[in-house]
Amino acid sequence: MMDHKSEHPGRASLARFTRGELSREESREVVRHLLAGCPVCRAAVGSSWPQGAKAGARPGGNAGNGNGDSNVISFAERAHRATDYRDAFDRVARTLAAREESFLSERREVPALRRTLESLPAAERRSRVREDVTFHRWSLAEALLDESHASGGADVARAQELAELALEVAERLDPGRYPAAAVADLRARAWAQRGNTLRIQALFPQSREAFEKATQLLAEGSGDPAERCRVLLLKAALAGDVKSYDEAERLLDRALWLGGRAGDRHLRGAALVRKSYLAQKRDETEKALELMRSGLALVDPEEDPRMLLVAQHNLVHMLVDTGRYREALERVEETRNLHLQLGGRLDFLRFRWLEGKIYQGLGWVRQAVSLYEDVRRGFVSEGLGFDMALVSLDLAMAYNQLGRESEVAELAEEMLPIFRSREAHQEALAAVLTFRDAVRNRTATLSLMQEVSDYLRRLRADPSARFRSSQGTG
Amino acid sequence: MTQPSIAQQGITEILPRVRPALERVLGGYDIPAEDAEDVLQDSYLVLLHKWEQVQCPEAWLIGTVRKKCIMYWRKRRRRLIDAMEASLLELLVEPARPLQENRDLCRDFERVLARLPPRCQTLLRLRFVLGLSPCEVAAEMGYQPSSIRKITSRCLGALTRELTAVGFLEER
Repeated sequence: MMDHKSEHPGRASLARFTRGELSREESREVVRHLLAGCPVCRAAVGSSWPQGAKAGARPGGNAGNGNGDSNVISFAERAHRATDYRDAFDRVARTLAAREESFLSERREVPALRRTLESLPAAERRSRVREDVTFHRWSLAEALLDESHASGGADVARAQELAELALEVAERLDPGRYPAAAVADLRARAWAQRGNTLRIQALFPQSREAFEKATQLLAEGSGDPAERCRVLLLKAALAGDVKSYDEAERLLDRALWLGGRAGDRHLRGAALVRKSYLAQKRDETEKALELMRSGLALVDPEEDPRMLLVAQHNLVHMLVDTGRYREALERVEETRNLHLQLGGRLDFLRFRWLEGKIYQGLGWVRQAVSLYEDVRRGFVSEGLGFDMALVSLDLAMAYNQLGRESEVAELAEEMLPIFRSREAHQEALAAVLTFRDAVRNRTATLSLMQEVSDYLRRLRADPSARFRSSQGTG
Repeated sequence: MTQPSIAQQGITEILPRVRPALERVLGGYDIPAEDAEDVLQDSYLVLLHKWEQVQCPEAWLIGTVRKKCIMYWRKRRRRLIDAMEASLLELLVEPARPLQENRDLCRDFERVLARLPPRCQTLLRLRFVLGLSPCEVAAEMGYQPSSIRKITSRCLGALTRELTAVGFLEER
């Protein structure tokens, strides 16, 4: 053991001590020496820790040493001091060129890896991905996540399978090959995507767990605000689904701020669109409209065309609900094109229905009737009793406006057996029956049809809603 | 607008453009030249992997390098405090040395403690002179067990400053 008072540890040891690189025994000797109050070594340690380079020091702020030391130089002064970083930049540039090439070649392999995966039976894909290192590629995980995201709305089972596969890949990436912070970000994205597919299936507790995992991983990640924003957007959707509206609002405000910090218009647009959905859920229609208009102005159609479609559709819906038929009509063409490019058959049927309402609102009742009839046939062939009943009521009101009463009667007679064969909700059946009986008794007014229609819509959101007709039936 | 793909515009092309700004960030945070490569390389590699999601690579890179600089000093501070804690525990709590040497050690420790705020003195005495566990220290001083690690770390930070003239800021 050295004499702790007289024997100095040496500058190199002191520098290594501040980096935590000494052995336990060496550290102990240094601490013992410093406790003895050696001013030379105290100063030497201090000089290996440049003044001003303090944990948490901020550009433009007083870097201070916590002891009120006014001699500490400012960030700007330090920034212009001539530390020579040329070697560091040169070495990084050389390494990076090689890594870029390897990354590009990895990307070229992805289509072949995807084909191999697709050729396997679904049950074998996960085990193959786990066991075969050729699948442990960053670019493959990214591609799987993109596909999962794209198929989320239309085919949730597929979206979940792809998210699980991406997760398997992301969990197995070679830490020597990929930067740890980027891997943590990718894993966070995979967990969030998994959480989102679980949310869509209403598996809320599992979804929440997945988001918690994603949040933990983000803390280990690069701190990229765009990455954090994406996770928060999905997490907010979960909060909205479980009716934690305040939490959803808070998450979306944070996401909006992060999107701004990332300088990402699209993400800010996405946050505003989601805030609009939230306002709709809270019955704040005017606020929802304003948010949706602002959000849509920022959303990038290339980035997330599906989100654009859903947002546009919703905007038209809100415009119709608030009687702004002219403005809704202005957006019809664009929305219809998006539906034709991206939407499924059912989404398109619902949009045509909306279009019918716009025409009816503008007084173009014949055009509305023609659309409602098409849509009704579509819902019947898809076996969607509820939607069929709702569009039938819109159609009945349009017939009524045109004085085509025999067609109203025909519709009322056809409606009940179809509805009964597909929907078991007793209150809903009672409402449809009330409508049919009123038509038979020639007492069916436009207001009764509207009452039944409003009730069926309310029932969708609240299965316990009861039907009460102002005409005394039901 | 989506970012051009990495195949269309290589990441290496943006290096010369962003280099002066990055040198200012590294210098501003006093990152030693020998450690700058790690800070830069980590940031560049993350950018390479996230290229197509990043709207403005230059701004992203500067922000990420800045964050890594903060993390660099935070980590070094943490390591230094960990080394200090482990050494103090071995020196003071598990002494296996002659009595006189022990007395000298305790006297030296008390002399440094005297320059710290009273709560820190009490906490460090309980932990390193009496050898109480963190939970016992928390109970003794009325702190939540969940926060004792953070408080101890602050006190060790103050002690380390006294011993080493290393003037880092307190973590908040």
